[in-house]
Amino acid sequence: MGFSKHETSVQLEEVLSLISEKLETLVEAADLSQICSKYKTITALFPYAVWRELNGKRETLDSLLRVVRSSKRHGFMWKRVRLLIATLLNEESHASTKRATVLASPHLRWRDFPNSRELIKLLAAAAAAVPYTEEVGMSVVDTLLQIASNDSLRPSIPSNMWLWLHKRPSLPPACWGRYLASCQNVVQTIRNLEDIETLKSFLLLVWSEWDGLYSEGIEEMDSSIQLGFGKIEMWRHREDLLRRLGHILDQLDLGLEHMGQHDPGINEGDIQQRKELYRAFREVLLEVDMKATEMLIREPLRLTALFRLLIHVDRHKVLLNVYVCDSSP
Amino acid sequence: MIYLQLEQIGRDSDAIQYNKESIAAFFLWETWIEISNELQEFDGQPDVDRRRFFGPRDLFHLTNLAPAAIYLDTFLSYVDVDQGRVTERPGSEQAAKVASLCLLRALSGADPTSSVLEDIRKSYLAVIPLAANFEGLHRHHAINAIHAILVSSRLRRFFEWTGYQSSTREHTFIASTLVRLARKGKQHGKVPRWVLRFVIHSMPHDSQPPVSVIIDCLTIIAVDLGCDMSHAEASGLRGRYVNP
Repeated sequence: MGFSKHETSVQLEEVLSLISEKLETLVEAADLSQICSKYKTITALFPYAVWRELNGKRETLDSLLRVVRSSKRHGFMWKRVRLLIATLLNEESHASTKRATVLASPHLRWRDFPNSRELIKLLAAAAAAVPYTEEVGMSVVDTLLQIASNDSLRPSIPSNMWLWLHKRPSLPPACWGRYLASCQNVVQTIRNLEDIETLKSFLLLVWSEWDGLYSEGIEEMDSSIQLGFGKIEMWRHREDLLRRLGHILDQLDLGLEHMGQHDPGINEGDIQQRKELYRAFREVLLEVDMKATEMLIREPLRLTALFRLLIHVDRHKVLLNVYVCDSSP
Repeated sequence: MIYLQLEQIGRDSDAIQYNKESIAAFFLWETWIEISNELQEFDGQPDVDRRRFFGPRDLFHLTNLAPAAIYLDTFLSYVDVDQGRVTERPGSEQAAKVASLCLLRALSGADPTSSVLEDIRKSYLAVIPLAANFEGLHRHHAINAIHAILVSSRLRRFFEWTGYQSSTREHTFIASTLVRLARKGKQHGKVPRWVLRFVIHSMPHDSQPPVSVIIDCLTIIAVDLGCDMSHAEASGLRGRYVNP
């Protein structure tokens, strides 16, 4: 019995379909222990998924990444793919393979690469060469924050890579980068960049109903808010931050049943702790805002400058009226 | 003529021992024909007429010999071991290669907990040391795989496929053999990691091996993930894995 090319092709698609169905089942069942116990097997599919991606068939990589993301395991990808990753990040590789690597990048242990520093630069270049999508942005930001949380790797981050934070993609409920980057050293590093847009974007990304924060990081964020967002002209940034905190608190108010749908491990204690944490940030921001307003009232010249600024912003007419009323003798 | 002779030998254990080498050589030849047929099917070449041959299983059945034991004896007769370094005897490179592939195929079908496998393990370790070096062999990955099956799990961790290059046929043969091994492994827990390393090695992102190797590699993944393969097997996959 011989096998024609058509028959072997049908067989191949059949086996691949079985694998995809199984991966979907694992994701739907949210059986984390089963997924994690098979991380080597799932990772073994990666080189072939990249090859399919290169040939315009994205579904294998998509299916693979869905199960990897659902695992919540830090550094899910088997170390055996390290060599492959280094090859894929090569400057001459195709945009599709670079995209595959960028999407897989949050699931690697970057500190384990012998030439991590070189690879981080290649990753930054590869990310810039890939057409932007929300998925790409999410992956790059997650990876960037993970790398930033490692003291030995952080200095290797090219300065322009921090600009990825400005894109502010929606990070998934399980996101290692978001959690790890809330440490003191990362907050300090970002503050030292002296770019208010980057600092704000960082806080908007790291603050989340899905995670707590490192305690040293919380103190550093407090002082960053007071020092970075205390000026009068920062009102728009303060408003963005307050809006984010409002959203987080609204989500947490939906309670355990709602949160548990996306994070089965969460408990009532976690929710209460996070509510307190984010309420405290809101208090700090409101206090900073109040001081800025008082400063504004005391300084008529600043008021004039602000008036000129606000007169062009229709959506803030109400705020303008409040400031004008408050400053009248 | 040969088969009639074998049938007679098969009834006499002394005769089996006396003619062991000849029988083994014949088994190897027969198995190689069967393997060749199998490989030709994948390459789309015409079948060799199998009706001319008994399958090796028929021969083993006639003589009551364990195929793996015969292949092991044969393989060991083609190699020298010096201070842990295993080398082929001059002029025996091809025979050693065929014997190692046949042995690997036979082992892939053996029950990991069977007494036969335990006997083979003892015979093997009596000649080949635990920390053997196979780099002197012309094609050492097949024997490395055999070593991985027969030695402790601790040593299996060090078995790498890096640098493994083979003809299309051998690659196809090894892949289909490892599928059988994966199935056996799964029945007793999980697919050995060194088999998964073969999958990563065999499916590079930039160039692809023959379709049958890709199917086998994907099958190894599917088996370890616990996919229900019954439908796929019914539609043709089963025909690709013939027991020796």
